[in-house]
Amino acid sequence: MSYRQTFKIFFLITISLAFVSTNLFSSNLTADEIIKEANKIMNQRTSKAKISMMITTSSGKRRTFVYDSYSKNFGEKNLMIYLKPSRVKNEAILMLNNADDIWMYFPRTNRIRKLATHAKKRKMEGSDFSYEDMGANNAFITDFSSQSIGKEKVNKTICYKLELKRKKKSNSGYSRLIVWVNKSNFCILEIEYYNEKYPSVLEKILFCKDIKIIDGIPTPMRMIMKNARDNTETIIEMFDIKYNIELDDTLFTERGMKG
Amino acid sequence: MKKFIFLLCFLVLITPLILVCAGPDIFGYFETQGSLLKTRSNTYNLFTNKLRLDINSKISNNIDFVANVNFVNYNGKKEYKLLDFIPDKIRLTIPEDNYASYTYTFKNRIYLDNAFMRLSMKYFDITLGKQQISLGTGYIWNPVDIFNIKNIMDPTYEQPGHNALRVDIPFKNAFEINCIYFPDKDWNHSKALIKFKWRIGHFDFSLMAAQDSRFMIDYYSFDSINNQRTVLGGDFSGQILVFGVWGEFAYSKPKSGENYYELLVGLDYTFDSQLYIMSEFYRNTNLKTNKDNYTLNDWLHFFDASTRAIARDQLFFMAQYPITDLIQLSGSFFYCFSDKSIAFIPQIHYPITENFELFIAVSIYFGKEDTAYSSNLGNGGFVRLRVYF
Repeated sequence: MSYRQTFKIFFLITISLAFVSTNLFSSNLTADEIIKEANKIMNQRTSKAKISMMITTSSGKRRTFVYDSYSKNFGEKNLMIYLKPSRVKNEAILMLNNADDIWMYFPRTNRIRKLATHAKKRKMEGSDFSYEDMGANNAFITDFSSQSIGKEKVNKTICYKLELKRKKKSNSGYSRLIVWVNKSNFCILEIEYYNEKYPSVLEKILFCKDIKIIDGIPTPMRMIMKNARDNTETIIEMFDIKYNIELDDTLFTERGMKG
Repeated sequence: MKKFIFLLCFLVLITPLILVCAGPDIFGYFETQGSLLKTRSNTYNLFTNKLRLDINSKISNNIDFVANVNFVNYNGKKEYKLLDFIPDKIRLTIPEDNYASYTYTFKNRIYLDNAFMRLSMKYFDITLGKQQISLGTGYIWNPVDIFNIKNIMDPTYEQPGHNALRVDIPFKNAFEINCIYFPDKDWNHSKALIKFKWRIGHFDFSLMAAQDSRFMIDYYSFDSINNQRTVLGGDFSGQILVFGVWGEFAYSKPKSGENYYELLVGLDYTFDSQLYIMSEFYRNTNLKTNKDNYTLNDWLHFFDASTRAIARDQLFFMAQYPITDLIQLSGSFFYCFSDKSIAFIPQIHYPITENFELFIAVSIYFGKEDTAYSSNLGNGGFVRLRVYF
């Protein structure tokens, strides 16, 4: 047996053992541990991406927004700067502290406006994503208590199915969430969002598609948010994603919003 | 004509500079607006076309050049007889021979609204040139803004640029100093402002000190009077319970006349249904409390945007609701505590396509003759179509 063949066999055995041990280990995970792992995947130290957001209104009209997105401190700081369309060009949204602090910059008036927490519920540019959906980094852990409700397949992928119920002191716009987490890599594949006041009323569903491994991190390149109540849909597509790069803290300030 | 030649020279000089720099970004909008206003004796139809051309260029990593040129063309009834909008008892005190002096004419304009360079260093930014300066946290009124006075019917419309030198010095991420100098013929006639901003919890705070100088017309003699004042004030924005809250305070010490203060407090909330409500209260102790004391100057200073209001205490309330995914309907109410008059301004905003939007606003005044929101101000509205490129 050549050195190369020996190495190949050794490598395959190691990988298989690692896979088996991961599955053995993960099968014993609690709901809290699963959501923490999923949260880790979602919120890297820093990230940068170009994002296209396509909104389909209830009347079938389409709107596309393109923006640069920056994130730091494991998603605690988020900045979005619009590139297209011209109507909103250079407008920026800065979200800090789980989107509890939101500032908007309007370049045509050179004005920065601070929005209160209630604005988290507002639709971002009329899309099916609220500010909370876009900027709440650790909300799954800080604002919700999690409970495992079994395993279920999503597009042939075995997933942990978790129910997240809003904690008493949380100001989240949702009473509960049902989350499907890929059992093998902890990537979230689907989320159901339930009404703030009526926990049985489904508000919207997020589908995470085209999962690609970027810098070792499973990343949904396409996210579809379907509004269950008014039949609208918003598709987010990610481009030029970079993880764990150096981003200066000043980017996440009023100065950074102005470009 | 002089302005046109100046602009032409400016464009000829600046274009090569922009072209040699990487990635000059040219964008802007074309806006066409039709407005109708009916007063007791006249109907005013005014049509406006505006082309705004924005140029943004990154000269180097830390130097930006930003400018915009505006071409505005007016059609329809371009001469506004200001006396049509004021109470009879004041109008009748003016000799009829002088009526023609109280006319404002909208003239076609080409102007450079902004043209500035920004140098961004590690510890500070310097902005030099004609630039927009927006101060304060208020939506309708901004007592701390010594540079601008908003149109209450259209408060989010862009403000004019000001020739100024601005230095912004951020310390860490939650503290910042802004210094603005607006030069005039000498220091006494210039404006200067220093502002300290910081953040505590979910609140943003600022304190400011300023020297303000502005020319106001005495509409009896048509003399231009320089009003100088020292202003101390501050603003905040944050959250109390579930409500967004903000406020501004400005204490003014004029060179001549009595000291006065301006105060603004505001509150907003978004319901689950996406209904958004906002309210603001504004007080200016320099203004009158009794409608019988309003003078010709009070009215005309309000019209020419020299003052923010005509009466001392004002309340604003707005409810905004997305009637479809794209159409926002809002209704704004203004109530003047001093003379108990009311104005109602319903508005519709509809982005028809990504870069084409429709904005309609109607103004209905319910106040009695000679009140702040009197029907003398003319009921009417405007339709604005804007296409961005």
